[in-house]
Amino acid sequence: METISIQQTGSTPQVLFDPLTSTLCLLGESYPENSFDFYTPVVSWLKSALQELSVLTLDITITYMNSSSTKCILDLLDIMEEAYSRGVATSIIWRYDRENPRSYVLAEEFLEEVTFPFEIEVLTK
Amino acid sequence: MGNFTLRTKFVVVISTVFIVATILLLLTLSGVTARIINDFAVRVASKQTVNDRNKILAVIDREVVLAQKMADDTVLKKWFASSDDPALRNSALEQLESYRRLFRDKSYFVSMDSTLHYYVANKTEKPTMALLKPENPADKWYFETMNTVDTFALNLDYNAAIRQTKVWINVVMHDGQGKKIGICGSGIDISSFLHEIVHSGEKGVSTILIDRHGVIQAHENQSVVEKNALERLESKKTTIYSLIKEASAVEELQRAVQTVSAEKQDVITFPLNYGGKQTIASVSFMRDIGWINVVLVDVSHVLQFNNFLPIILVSVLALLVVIVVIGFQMNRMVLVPLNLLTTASQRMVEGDYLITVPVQHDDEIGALTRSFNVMATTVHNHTANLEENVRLRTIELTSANAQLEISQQLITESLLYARVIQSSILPAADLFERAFAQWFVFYKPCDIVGGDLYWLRETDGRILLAVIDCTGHGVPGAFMTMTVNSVLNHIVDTVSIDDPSRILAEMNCLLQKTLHLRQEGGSMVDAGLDIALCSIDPVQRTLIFSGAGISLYVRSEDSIDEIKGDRQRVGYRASDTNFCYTNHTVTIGTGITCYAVTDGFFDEGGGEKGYGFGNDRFNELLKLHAHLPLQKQGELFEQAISTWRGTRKQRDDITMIGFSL
Repeated sequence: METISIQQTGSTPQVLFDPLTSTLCLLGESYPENSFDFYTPVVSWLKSALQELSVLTLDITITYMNSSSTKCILDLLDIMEEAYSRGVATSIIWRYDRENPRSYVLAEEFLEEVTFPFEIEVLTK
Repeated sequence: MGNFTLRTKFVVVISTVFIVATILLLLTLSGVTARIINDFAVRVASKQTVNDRNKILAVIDREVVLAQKMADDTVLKKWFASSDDPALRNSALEQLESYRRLFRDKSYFVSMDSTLHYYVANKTEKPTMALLKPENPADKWYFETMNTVDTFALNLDYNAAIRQTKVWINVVMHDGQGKKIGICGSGIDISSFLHEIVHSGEKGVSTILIDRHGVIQAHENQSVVEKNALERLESKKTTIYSLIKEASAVEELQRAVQTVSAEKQDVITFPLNYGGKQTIASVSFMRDIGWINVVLVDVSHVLQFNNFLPIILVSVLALLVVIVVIGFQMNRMVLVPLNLLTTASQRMVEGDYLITVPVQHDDEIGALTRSFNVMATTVHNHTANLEENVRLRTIELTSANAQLEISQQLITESLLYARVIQSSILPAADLFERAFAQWFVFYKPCDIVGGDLYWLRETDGRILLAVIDCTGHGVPGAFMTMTVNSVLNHIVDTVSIDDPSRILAEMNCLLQKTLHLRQEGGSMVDAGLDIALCSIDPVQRTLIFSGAGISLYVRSEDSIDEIKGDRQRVGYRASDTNFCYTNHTVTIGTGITCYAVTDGFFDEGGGEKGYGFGNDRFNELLKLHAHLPLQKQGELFEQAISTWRGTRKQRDDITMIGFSL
């Protein structure tokens, strides 16, 4: 299975899969000019990865995303939901800073879209 | 020496070498000359003492031999045998006369033991006869000699009155049977020899004659000799030892005197401190007269250091010449070419690369100079090429920049025109003025054009107001707004405007169709919108709100209500075309103000960590500014979000509308 690693930029998050913990991490802000371009490889990777993996955690620490990025994240959630229905142990951990309630609002919106485990955690650092 | 020039260092080194070499040379020469002087002094002293001795002895020996011949003369012996015979006496006197003429002193004496007659003759006087008497002290010598001497004896006699030193040769005469029959002999005045010896005139060389006890017999200072001659007591006579200050020197001299007196050694030469002067002493024994000849050579006088001065001067000069020649050569071969190179390097530092340094010698410096010239040429070529390259690249860049500027200008002009067009679809202020008692619109796309849209229409006594946030911003967002505007206009023309939920459902369907994004296997691009749509009856003061992703804030005097729109966004691929949006009915009493705001406001990054502005801060602002006129509130919201943003770039388009009836 191929892994995935995309460096963080000012407008795109870091995307990194850790095979040891079977965790896909998204970290940073997400407001690229063309969100679909940016997320296409992530979506493809997730689709194929969920064919092989039995467990996958999506660990998201995103402080801001624009509406087109939101649509792309919803696509990722759809894929995970589909895998979950096949018996893959998908889950999400959403981390946010108390000082950034918009991130929490975003998490709540996503939470309503899925049936698999979705944890919202406060960043402690 | 770090800060000095090579030339200075060189001069210092050369001078140091010169000084050190000169000092070494002088030290060596002074050591060598001291040894030469010493050796010379030793030789002079040894030679002198032997010379002096021989000079005296040569004279004495001849006289002694002549006196012995005289004592052995048969004529004399015959006369001595018959002393009364006048014929024998006359022939003897004749014979004596011939001896007298042969003696150096032109004198003789003869004493006949049988008669004790004493005959004496000299240059001026004819032979005279006297009688020797044992009781006469002046005649004592005769009887003593007759008693103690068998062959001959030499007696020294200094006559102070006439300053004459005489050596008396007394030869004992024997008859045929060996019986002592008398004494004959002569005297030699050695004053002139002594004078010659002690006044040799040689610089730094002095001769002193002493007897076995060290008593001075001949000295250049005549008064010492005279005093000794007149002094009867041996102990009071001046000895050579009394003239020497150091006890060790006295001992040394005494030892030498004893050695030569015992004839164990002919000559002894040794360094001697004589009267505070460093001398070389040479001692020899004159057996015949029992004196010791002491020659003193003053080391400082015999050969002076000055004598070597020319050699030293020539050596130092030669050294100087060698060093000067080396210095000049070094200057010519190293320093001058080096200075040329330094000057050339300096010119290179100043940016002049067209330099050629003349190659003067075919040596290391010459090689360096050649390398330098090659380097200068290379640098010159590179610099010229570089400048040419930079010039060409600058022209290219300038041209590219000009093109970019043109493009940028075209794009900007195009966008500015697009903005004019986008603005034209936005409702004009007089529409708002007619519709609402108070109102404000805060519309700020993050680029020249944006994806936010507000829309207002008055139809059949109702006011229809929409705040729309299309997917994307900038040009794509703007295209969306144009489409959405058309779609909305179209729908409003066909459906009743008092049912906003119906309008939203229609928009959902129509947009999906319009954007052709629902095809299977199509691109991932997905577009839609968030919307707050209000249908207002200004007479009844009622408002029907239907929303998708955008809330309506209703602020009365004592509360703020947020009426959330449905979560189902409009027009996206995934949007459910059968979804029924909710209608919320609100009564707008006096003092009620409504606000609709796109999420660009809440998400605007700012503050310390760049986080979104957030709903809480927004609610606080609503409360804070409640009492103010709406236009003022609009300004304050704009100000607040600008302050929050600080120097950051705006993230998303922002639209906020507030109104009251």
